[in-house]
Amino acid sequence: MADEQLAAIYEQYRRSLLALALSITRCPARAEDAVHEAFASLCRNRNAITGDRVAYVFTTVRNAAVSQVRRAPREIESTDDRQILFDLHRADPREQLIDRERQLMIAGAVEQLSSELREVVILRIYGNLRFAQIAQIVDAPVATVATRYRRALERLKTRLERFV
Amino acid sequence: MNDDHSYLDAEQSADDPELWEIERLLSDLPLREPSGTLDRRVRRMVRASSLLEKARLIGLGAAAMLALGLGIQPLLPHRGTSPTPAPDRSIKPAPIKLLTTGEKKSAQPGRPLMVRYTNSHVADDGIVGFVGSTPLQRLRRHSVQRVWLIDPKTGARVAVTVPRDEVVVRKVQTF
Repeated sequence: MADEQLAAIYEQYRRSLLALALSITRCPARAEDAVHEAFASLCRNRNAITGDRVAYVFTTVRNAAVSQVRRAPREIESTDDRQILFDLHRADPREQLIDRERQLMIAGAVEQLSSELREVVILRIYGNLRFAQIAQIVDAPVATVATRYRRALERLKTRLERFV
Repeated sequence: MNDDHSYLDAEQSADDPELWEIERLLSDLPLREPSGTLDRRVRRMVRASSLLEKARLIGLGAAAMLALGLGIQPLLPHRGTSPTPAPDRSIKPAPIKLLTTGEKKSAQPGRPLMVRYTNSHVADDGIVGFVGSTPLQRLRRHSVQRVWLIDPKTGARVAVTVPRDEVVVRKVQTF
């Protein structure tokens, strides 16, 4: 893969890549380290990249995040209840249109999902990836990914009934 | 496991309008931004990797050109390519002796004029053996000498061709 393509993938997916790493590590610093490690590895082995390049990059980031968790699991467990995926303080014009309380509720509901449901939601909604790509990233059958996604949405629906 | 994937073919997220609403709510939430440090680190890494790749390609190209040059060298004629061409330098074609009007006058009448022309070249057979650890190089000099005898009175001429082959074996300086 050319470096221009790698750079373009980073620019397009940088937030969802970080969100995927955060979803696994539950620690911003470790998530950033995982993304950095993943891109270092991708730069070194760019000629080995085959198949769907976007899925390959996400898979590498996911593997790096899983490695981070294995290195220091206790530290990560202690931060598991924090809301870290979303930036609710960002100055965005759209923010004015969305109720602050509702944002916090939705973010909290997503954070409370199990890791395997949460990563599918992140990849699907924020990465705009196809189920086939997500299946490759999480190493599961496509049907399983679709089921996880649907189950995640149904759980969120239950928790966010008052907003739907 | 309940594998309800009726919406997979169309890659739709869900078939329930309430689930669509959940998707819409989620997509409105802004994800955390990567820090400036991470952005800089990754961008620098990708750029450096790109430069390294270009340098590597240039290096490979230069190496390929060098290898190509060295590879075709044995296919070229040996003349002038010998690493020790000293014997070649010492051998020069004998100049053709041109007859001038003065020489014609000074030449004794009745004696034939002699003209010699020598053409030679040296071939390098390379290393053909060793004396102890010293390699021996064999050089072969091929020469053809042509001699014309001309009767100045009648203009009659006789041409003689003399081929010669000399073989020289010499020690090669090693480092």
